[in-house]
Amino acid sequence: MTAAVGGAAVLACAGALLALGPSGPPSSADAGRTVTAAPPPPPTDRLAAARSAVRGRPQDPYAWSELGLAELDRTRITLDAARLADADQAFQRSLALKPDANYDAVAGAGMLANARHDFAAAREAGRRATAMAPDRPIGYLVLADAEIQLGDYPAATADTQRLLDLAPTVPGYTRAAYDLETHGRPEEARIALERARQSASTPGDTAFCEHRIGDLAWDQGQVDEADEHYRRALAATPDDHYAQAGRARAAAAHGQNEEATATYRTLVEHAPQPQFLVELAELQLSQHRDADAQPQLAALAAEVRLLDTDGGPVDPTLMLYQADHGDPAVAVRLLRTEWDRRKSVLVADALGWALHRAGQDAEALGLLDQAAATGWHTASFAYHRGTVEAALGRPEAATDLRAALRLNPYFSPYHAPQARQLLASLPGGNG
Amino acid sequence: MNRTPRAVLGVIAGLLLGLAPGAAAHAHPLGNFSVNRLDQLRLLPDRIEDAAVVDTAEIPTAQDRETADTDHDGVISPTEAAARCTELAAAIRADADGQALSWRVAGSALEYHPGAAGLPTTRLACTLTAPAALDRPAEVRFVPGTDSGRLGWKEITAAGDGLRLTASSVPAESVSAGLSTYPQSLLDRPPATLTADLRTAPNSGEPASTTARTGAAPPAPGGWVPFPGLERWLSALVGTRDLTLPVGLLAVALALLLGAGHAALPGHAKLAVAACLAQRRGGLRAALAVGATVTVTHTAGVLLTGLLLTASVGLAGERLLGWLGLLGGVLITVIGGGLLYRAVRVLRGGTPHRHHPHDHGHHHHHHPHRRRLGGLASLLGIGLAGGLVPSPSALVVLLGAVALGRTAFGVLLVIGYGAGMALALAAAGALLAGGSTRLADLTSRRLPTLRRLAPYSSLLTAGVVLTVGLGLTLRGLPGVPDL
Repeated sequence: MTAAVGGAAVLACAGALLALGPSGPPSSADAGRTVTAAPPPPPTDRLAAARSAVRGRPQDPYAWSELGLAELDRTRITLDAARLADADQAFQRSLALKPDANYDAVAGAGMLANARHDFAAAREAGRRATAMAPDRPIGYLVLADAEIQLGDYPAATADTQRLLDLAPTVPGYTRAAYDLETHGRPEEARIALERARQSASTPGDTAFCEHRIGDLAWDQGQVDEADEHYRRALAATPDDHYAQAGRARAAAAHGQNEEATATYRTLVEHAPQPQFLVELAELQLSQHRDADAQPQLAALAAEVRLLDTDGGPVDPTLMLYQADHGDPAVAVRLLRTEWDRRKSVLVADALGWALHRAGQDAEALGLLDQAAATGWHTASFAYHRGTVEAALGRPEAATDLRAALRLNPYFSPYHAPQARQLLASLPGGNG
Repeated sequence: MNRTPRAVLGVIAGLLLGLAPGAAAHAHPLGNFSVNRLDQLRLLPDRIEDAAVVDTAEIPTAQDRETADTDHDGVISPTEAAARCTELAAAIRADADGQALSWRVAGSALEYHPGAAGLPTTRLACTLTAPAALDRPAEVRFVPGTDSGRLGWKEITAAGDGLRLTASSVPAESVSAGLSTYPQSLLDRPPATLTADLRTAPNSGEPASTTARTGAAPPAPGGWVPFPGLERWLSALVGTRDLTLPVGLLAVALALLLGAGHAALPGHAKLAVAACLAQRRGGLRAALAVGATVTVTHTAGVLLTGLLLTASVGLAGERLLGWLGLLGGVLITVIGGGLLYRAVRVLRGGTPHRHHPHDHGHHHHHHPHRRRLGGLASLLGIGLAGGLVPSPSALVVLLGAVALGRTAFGVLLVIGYGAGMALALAAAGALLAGGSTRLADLTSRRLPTLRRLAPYSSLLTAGVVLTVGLGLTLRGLPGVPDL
């Protein structure tokens, strides 16, 4: 009798388990769930968790694509380009294990291509991903990021809208904000970023939204408000490099040059990005501390040399350094190849400025016209345009230079004084 | 500070912003932004030596070269290398038993090597030494003062020379061969070791240098497994892509073997002893009954736990196991208490449970009018309680099969596991039952005085069951460390 009861219990349990348990290959979500339910507690760090998952299931394509995404996510914080090779390797492994219908790996490879500024490859991956699953958001995120940098603005807007429709969360709102900003609508961009910040669930996302709001405020010349948002970004994530740069910028605008320099120094030691190196070097040059600026200029020169040897994607910010402090002809050459690859307003502006520095003002103005195509009004764009117009003896020069200084009088400690000087030298430029 | 509009690019949630494009192709294995540092510690009875290496990639070298070339003559002179090593030594925070160590530069070398695009990379080597009294047991803490925010490899090694390292948080050998070949595997890089904690003991006589042992391997999850290799093999078999009949049969055979191994675990063996003592006259049948009950409950328990874990993600496996253990313990304690109560009553009361002198004999064991101490119910209760805690290895196999979408196969394996347990328990029970009979015969024949003690054996039995139950309860109590 007891045996019958026991047997019945075993049968009942087995039956229920068979009914509830999966009978086919698991999806990545199911696999992850089982792993978290098993006795060893999962590591809290995403990268460590992804690594241990790959160790446990080296034949699982989802574990590999998750490792790639975790590597990419880490790069977002450290700005360490070396990680990108690791992410690449992980996505390739995932694709080798599951060549067909591997959405995560295809979309991940697209994000990786965007991170490497290989926007054509990213657009290709984005198209494959969205064809594979038209209702999943990440493919549109890859597409939107690629298209806006390739200068395909209508497509970028459409894909950003699609992304936002599918997932009204941080990625969608931040892309929408960038799209609006690019089209010269900073107030609406600000609203989108506020939404993004409200739906942010991690400190990293909060910091990102805050420093982007700070950047928007800075571009409108609202130094104190920008500084407040940078401060909040750092409260959420102390090593948000862009917020650190923002605080240094605000300190310099307030005349606290020592504080600004100290912040920048730590920053360029941790993340020697062209933008940070140029900002520090130009702050030091504007104070006539040329010797102090040398390490930054040397590092920038090294980065240009690496780029020139590699033939990789060209960063417009680095090329502005090259045009102003190096050989402008090199900047023109590199930017022309980049302009052939993509018709972004950022590339147009940098190429226009490099052409001016190389003495080809007529061609420069044509490119600066293209840079104005989306209606993005920034002090730096207006300053470049005004300077080239002045060189060509155009009457609009004073208007543009005045617009630059009105938008943000602190836009650059190095270039703003030059803008003022030039404006003063123009007929009717004293007002 | 040229605030130009910039590209904003992204990863899933936040965004990824303009990485320096030049870094896309790296000549340096860890990227041309990295500053990599290795501290190789050698601990001797009177001092600690640190062979420190700093490998600086192209961009930081460019940023730094101006500073290193202090006399700006474009040539790195030995004084500049020494100056950098002095700076490096000053940043180190290290102590032996709370006594701060002060480092002296014994050697320094600074070299430039051509890297990507003909740009130089730097390799600084410093030999540092600090006096330390390590001729007695000491605790050493070493913090190189490396900037943790800086990108790059951060590695520390430690080895004893003329003394032993009894504990060390860092390995003895460099995994990058002294920052010359960086491992390419995705899974073990790059390390970011920012401190080393060491414990030393003087060498007791032997002159050979002993190296540090790396941190002990973490204990296997879920307790002790009799055949860890076998279990890993079984898990691997379940995970094979193509499940063929021979592989499946082999897996079932392995499950049987593992089940038998699990049954031999102390907890179950104790139960078998307790049950057989309680059922001294039950013999083979009792042994089989206990074995079967334990097996059936165990199989049901594993399946139920697997079911619960599969159905609800939130339930942590370890906590569930803990509660089941507690439940089993309480059940056995209650049964033990009941046995004790009855044994005491029998001793005090009118019906002495005692063998009549003429009644002993070889067929005594199968006497049809045998009295039972606890009855079949308590016997099954013990089996039930003993089988209630699912063995972690069976659970792992089942969950593994479920995760791979082979639920049916997993259930089959658990049943095989249970069958293995049944066989082992029954065999052990039969052996013990036979042994105890012979022992009883022996004692009652040779030592008649012992006969008087016979009634106390039921008391002893009850005590053993109660103790086992209490032990299991204590183990099951949350917060009580697992044995």
